[in-house]
Amino acid sequence: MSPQPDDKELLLQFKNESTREAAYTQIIKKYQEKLYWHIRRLVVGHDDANDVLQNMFIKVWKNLDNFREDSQLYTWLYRIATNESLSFIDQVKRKATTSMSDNEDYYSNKLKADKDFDSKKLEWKLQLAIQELPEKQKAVFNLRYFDEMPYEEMSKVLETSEGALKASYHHAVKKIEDYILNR
Amino acid sequence: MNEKINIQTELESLSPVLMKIGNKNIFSVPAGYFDEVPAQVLHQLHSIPDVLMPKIQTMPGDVPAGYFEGLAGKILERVKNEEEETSAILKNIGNTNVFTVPDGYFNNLSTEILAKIPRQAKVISLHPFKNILRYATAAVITGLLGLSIFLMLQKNTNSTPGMDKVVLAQANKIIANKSFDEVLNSLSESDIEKYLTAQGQDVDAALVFSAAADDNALPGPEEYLLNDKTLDNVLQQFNLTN
Repeated sequence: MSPQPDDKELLLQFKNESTREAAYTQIIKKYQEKLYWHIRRLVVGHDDANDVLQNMFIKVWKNLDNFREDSQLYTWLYRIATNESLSFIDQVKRKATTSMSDNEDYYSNKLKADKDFDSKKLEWKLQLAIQELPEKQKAVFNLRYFDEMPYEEMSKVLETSEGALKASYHHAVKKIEDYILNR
Repeated sequence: MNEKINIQTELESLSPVLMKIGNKNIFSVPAGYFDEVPAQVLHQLHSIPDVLMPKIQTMPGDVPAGYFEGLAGKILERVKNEEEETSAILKNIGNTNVFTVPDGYFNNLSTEILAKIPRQAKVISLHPFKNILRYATAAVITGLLGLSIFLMLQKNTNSTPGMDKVVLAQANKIIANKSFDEVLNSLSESDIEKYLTAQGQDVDAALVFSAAADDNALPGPEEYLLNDKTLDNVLQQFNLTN
């Protein structure tokens, strides 16, 4: 397996018209899987995750020239992916004329419709519990629990203080534990 | 690796139940999905109209031959057509300012306003003020517009009814050139202090906010472009700190 190209080098190549597309392709290849899973855990369905992933990379193309290199490309991409996912969920909510609790059901039902869903497995019960969290807290929990991201990086991705993120994560864990033990 | 241990230790202390479940991925994707993503995204990009794409510097040869030669004439023609379309009545009325102000009004306005504002002895450093400006682009624009008008009225003793147009033109230039920081840096700290003091209650809010704001956590300009809720979120946070 060839070593992953350096972000700074990729950004330099992106600024050059003749290597722009090749550098962009490399950026997608380098980050697509991590970003896809982050998005997928938020929007649940593969088709929705695919749409959000593609839209976010199109935004990346449009805005990469404005990217400030004083932050990491990795955290910048995660931020766009998170914002795109939360906007997508918001759109779904707005389209639904029903209440918030129905929206939660929407994602729980999507999970249950997954071809691999197994209600007996704790891993799936965990996913159902996550759907009970408010959207932003869902992102906080997923970034910490699944992506194993340090609070410092999460703070850059979610534009929230580390203290607030710790509190949010701790609350999320307690809510999820309660769901798993009592439902 | 240390971070992984930290996360596990944290989780273990919070919830042994969750710790036991682990963070194994249970979702799956269609076979070969990730191999196709770059090509799919590029395909989508190519189907987007050029007008929506980022502007890459182009050479003059990239525009149709003779484009610039004919451009001025075309614009003049459009202006002429639009002028002709303008109502003849409106044309006769003209755009003369019908409003008047008492003699010397603008000469004393700033002094009068300042006299009405309770004086607050405050020490305001330039740095937190910059934070506030960086924190909300809208606030930057409003602040600079306000500050420009404030300074202009203070410095121009011969203000005329058309002065507001001059101030607005100057403000529009700042907006068009995106030169907020430049303009801000060119102002003296005492001018900014005067302006802030003249804003009364806003000074308190700004000071509380700037003291609480973490410089590193401030959104950068691109965040405003990428997420139209950024400003709302920031303002919401602002309200919470008050």
